[in-house]
Amino acid sequence: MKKLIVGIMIVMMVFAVTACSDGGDEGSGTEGTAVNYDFTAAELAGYINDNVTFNDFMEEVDPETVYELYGIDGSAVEDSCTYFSTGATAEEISVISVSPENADSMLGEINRAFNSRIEDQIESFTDYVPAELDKLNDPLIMEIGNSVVMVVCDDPDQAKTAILDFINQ
Amino acid sequence: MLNVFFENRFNARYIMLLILVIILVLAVIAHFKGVGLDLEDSQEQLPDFVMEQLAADDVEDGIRVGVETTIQKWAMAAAEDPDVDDPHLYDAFEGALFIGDSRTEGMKFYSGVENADFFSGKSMNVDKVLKGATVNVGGQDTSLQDLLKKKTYTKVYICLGINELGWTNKDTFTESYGTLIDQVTQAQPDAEVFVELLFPVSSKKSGSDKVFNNTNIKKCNDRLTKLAEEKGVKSLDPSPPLVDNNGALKAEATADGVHINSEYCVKWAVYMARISM
Repeated sequence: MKKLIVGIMIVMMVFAVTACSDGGDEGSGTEGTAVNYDFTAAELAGYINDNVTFNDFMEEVDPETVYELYGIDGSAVEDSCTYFSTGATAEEISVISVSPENADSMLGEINRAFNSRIEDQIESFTDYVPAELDKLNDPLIMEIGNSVVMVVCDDPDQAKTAILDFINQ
Repeated sequence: MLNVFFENRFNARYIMLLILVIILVLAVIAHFKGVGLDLEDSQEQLPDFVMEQLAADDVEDGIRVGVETTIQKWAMAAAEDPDVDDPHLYDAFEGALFIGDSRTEGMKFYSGVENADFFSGKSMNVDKVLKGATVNVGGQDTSLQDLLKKKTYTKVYICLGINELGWTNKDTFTESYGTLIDQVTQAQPDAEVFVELLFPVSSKKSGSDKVFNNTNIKKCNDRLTKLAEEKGVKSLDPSPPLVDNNGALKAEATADGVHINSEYCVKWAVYMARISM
């Protein structure tokens, strides 16, 4: 009887552990690996810039200019880092982080701002450089902890892999 | 003979007077020679551009040409090695407005100019501006016409034309550009208005593109220069810090041959600030 109870407990524990490591696709790391949310926006944006293929010069832009362009309340932002291209392409990297207290209200706002930015860029590039629409129609926008990341590039899967590598390293 | 000469009182006085005059002349020469040396020393401490101006005035066809050459040299020196920590780097842009396309947007993003407004956007052209296209300026979407009504500017730089290179009717472009100048000068009568000529594309781009090439840019700039003269506004050529020995946009400055990276956006802005002071 004791052996049966011990066996049932072991099975329950296995299921419990499996359940804990399941779900939470956005922002989660590789199963069984500790996820590191302790990073600055500049570190993550820089890592993406270094590890994802971009065709244009990618260069950091002053945060105030970015908030104005994205229509984000900069006072609610804890940390951010954004790279724009020269204007020849639609390539872009942006990492915007908020404090845990502001996360509930701000993460949604940043997501909306990123999507709005993509729509504006699609409008701009449609008659300008139509080839860039492929990138704009498949942007990577994902939440990681209290940050939202947007990457516009040729290969969003490569960008996602880079981000997961970064938070799991 | 000499004794007889000196025995004459009149001659002795004459000689004494002569000696005094010689001493006086020598003293004066020595004095002015000294002052001259001091001047030379002080000239060596003057800024390079003043020294260059003095030199240029000697060799050019008149003082005005010399001064313009000097300003360009001064602007080039600043653009070649910009002091980005200088708080007065962009003083010339205080209260200014830039009207432009994606190239000007690059200046907005990367140059560090914070004391001016930018009415700029990708694919912007004179036609869109005249039809009331809106751009985010200071966090609000606005047309140029509304912006000119709302704010007063000290200087207005119009930097359009690259997206119009493909227009088949060049007269339409010139007329529209002229209308835009008129709108700006009427709305901002106290502002100094500048027509900024187009800087070239790279050799590679120029050699491979039927529209965006330096032959078409030269023709466009000729039209803009003439138009600026007709409208009584100044035209400015921003290209010196951006081009190679062949007059084409430096390859290292651009990824696509048309737009420039942050390093060259700073050079561009610094040069523009200097030549429009």
